Amino acid sequence: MATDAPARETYEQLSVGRGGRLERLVPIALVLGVVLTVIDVVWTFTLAPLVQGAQLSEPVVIAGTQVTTKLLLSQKIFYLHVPVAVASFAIMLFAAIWAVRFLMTKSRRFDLYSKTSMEVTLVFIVATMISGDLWTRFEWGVWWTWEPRLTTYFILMLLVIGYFILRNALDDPERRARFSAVFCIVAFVDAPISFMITRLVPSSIHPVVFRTDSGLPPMMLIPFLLGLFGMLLIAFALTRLALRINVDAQEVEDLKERLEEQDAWKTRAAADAALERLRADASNLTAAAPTSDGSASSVRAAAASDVAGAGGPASDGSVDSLAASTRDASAHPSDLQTPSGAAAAASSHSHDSQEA
Amino acid sequence: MDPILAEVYSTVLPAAPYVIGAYVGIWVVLFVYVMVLSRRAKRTRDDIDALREALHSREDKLGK
Repeated sequence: MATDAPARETYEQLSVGRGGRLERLVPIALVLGVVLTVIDVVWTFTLAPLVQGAQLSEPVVIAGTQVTTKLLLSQKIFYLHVPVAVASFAIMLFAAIWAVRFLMTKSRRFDLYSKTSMEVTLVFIVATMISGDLWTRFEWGVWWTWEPRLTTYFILMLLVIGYFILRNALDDPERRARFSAVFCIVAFVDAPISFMITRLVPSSIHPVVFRTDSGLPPMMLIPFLLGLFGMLLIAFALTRLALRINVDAQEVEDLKERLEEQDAWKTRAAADAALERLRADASNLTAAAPTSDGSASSVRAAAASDVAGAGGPASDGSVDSLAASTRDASAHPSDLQTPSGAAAAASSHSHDSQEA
Repeated sequence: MDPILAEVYSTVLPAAPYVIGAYVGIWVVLFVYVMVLSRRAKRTRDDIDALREALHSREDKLGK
């Protein structure tokens, strides 16, 4: 059952799975992905046939084959452009799944997973936009057109950028994680729309790649599948690498917090030491009071200057507040009399201020 | 060149810069991201080392 407040996990909890089986697969996946993609590129430009374009004015025989149309080189962009686009959808799917899991469990780990996946998604979207735009420029003669596939994919890119703007705009980690998770899920709705839009809108002029009657010959299908699996493996490896770095970045934040806690502890310890001195002085004052008013005043003045110098609880220097502080301290002597007690008090104090 | 053959290949050469640009563009984007990750990893590792050292030295001082 989900709790209302997100769990505050330590670095160790966030890095669950580190050094595990998935982690060991990362270098293998990266190398295999690059090898498959390189084979795809080589195959594309050597073995895969050129597709046919517009009709020729008259047929011609080339290498024993009758050719009736122009040959299109630009189609070769498809062998890498489509795998990159599919990889962007796949990673975003995982980002949305982890966002849902965050909302279910409130575990900060899933927020980190989701954010990392969105980061890699953005990289693949940018790569898809660049390659697609170059194809558009050559085939359609324009750098951009508000065609349904292009438009929905452009919106997807804006949504992913918006996700990071939202994250940076929110300071509170809990709200940031919750709002980002919801935004990620909503943004993901555009992914299947963008994927299906060429089928849903008949006027779409973008080529439809995934269809049962695509009739890709094996010499074209094999490099495409190699590129697809290669890019998915690269996407997986990059996501895991980025995740490892983001978990480390979280450790940096945790260490900074611990240092800040120590600073608070030092301040508190100095105040406690001053308070100890005060109590000793107060005892002296009590002992000296019946004998001499003048000496009592000097002890009071010394005590006030001690506390003012330490910046302790009674830093206004008034004797009344000093006395009140001393009473407070006496009410919890165990907090003050041992260093560990003081540390516990400091820790409690810093914890309270963090929660505030 | 045979005018028919020239017509057959008329779209091949003009498309070459775009095709090359698309392939290079994809690899450049991925490579830049890997570089960014690599730099971020190094910086994070340095930060962790420095912060751990600072934390240990402070803990030692407080222990004394």
